[in-house]
Amino acid sequence: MKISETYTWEAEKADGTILTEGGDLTECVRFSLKPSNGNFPAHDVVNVPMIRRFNRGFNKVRFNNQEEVPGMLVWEDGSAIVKTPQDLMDVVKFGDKIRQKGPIEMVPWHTVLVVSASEILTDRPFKGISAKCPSWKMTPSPTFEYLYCVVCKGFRFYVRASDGAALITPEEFELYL
Amino acid sequence: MAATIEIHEMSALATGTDKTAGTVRFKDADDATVDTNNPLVIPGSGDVYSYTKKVRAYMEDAPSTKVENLRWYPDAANGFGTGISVKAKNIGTTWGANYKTAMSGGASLWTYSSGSPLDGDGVDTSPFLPAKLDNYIGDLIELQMTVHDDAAQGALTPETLTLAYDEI
Repeated sequence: MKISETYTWEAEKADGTILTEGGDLTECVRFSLKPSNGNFPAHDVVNVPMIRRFNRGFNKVRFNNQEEVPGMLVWEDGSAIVKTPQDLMDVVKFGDKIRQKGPIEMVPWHTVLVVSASEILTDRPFKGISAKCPSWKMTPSPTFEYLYCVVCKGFRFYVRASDGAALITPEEFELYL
Repeated sequence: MAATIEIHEMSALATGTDKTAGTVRFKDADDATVDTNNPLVIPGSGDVYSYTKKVRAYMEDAPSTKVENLRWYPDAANGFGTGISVKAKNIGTTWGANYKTAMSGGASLWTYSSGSPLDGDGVDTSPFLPAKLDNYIGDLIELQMTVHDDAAQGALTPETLTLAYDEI
């Protein structure tokens, strides 16, 4: 997954030199995270002894995140509505993904928008062979996060790339999400 | 430019399938296909084992300076339920064919956590420089599911494995 860089960083030495690369901040007096997205907060660390900086990425993989939907769903070419043989409102939820059973390249996932007692509305029309067939469901979950970190004498300053939230921890604290 | 590090399910030391944000399915077959074929059948007594799975980090986009400190850990506690467990171990960079007999060594995946992760670069050691672009980095992590005779029938609640890394 490509990282959407929500921040750029720069550090400033006491003599005014600006750094935008590397990890050593020992001679710096200012460290700034500038949001690329205007809705995110800017962060500045100033006039504290700084040590280093790094970014931390988190990738996730799921085990066994796929199950067969009860009954046979009715998929129709050109329709975003999938008919269900029974009420699946307790099984399939908004945001889940469903698809016909078969190779992923032939029958890609559709995102569930609305579930009623007899049908499921998905995010786009189905393109393929109309069929009443077994189908799969998976529940997506956040699969990536990225932190910016500056290590200072006495504390660390972490900023989450997804929303700009900041967290201050002890200097040696390794934050794993 | 931030690095892009992927999680691949491996079929050889340097050949794998990108499973980042995807699914790894423990099954009674040696392939990376996510389907409902070859399920693990609850035994009348004792245990059955899935084919082992191997995952490894892959550098899809290079960092500015380096990537280091690869760590693997699951979420919270085992949510698969009674009678179902997963073992994990770091096997370095020595490839061995996947197998469905009991894994020797290793530890429960849930002995690792965000506070005590499984080291992912003890043999193929970091730092990994931009020259590693489009290459596998770090060690192979081998996993195997065990199903005991008291397990409940049915699909399992998904669990998550996280790869964390630092970059500069």
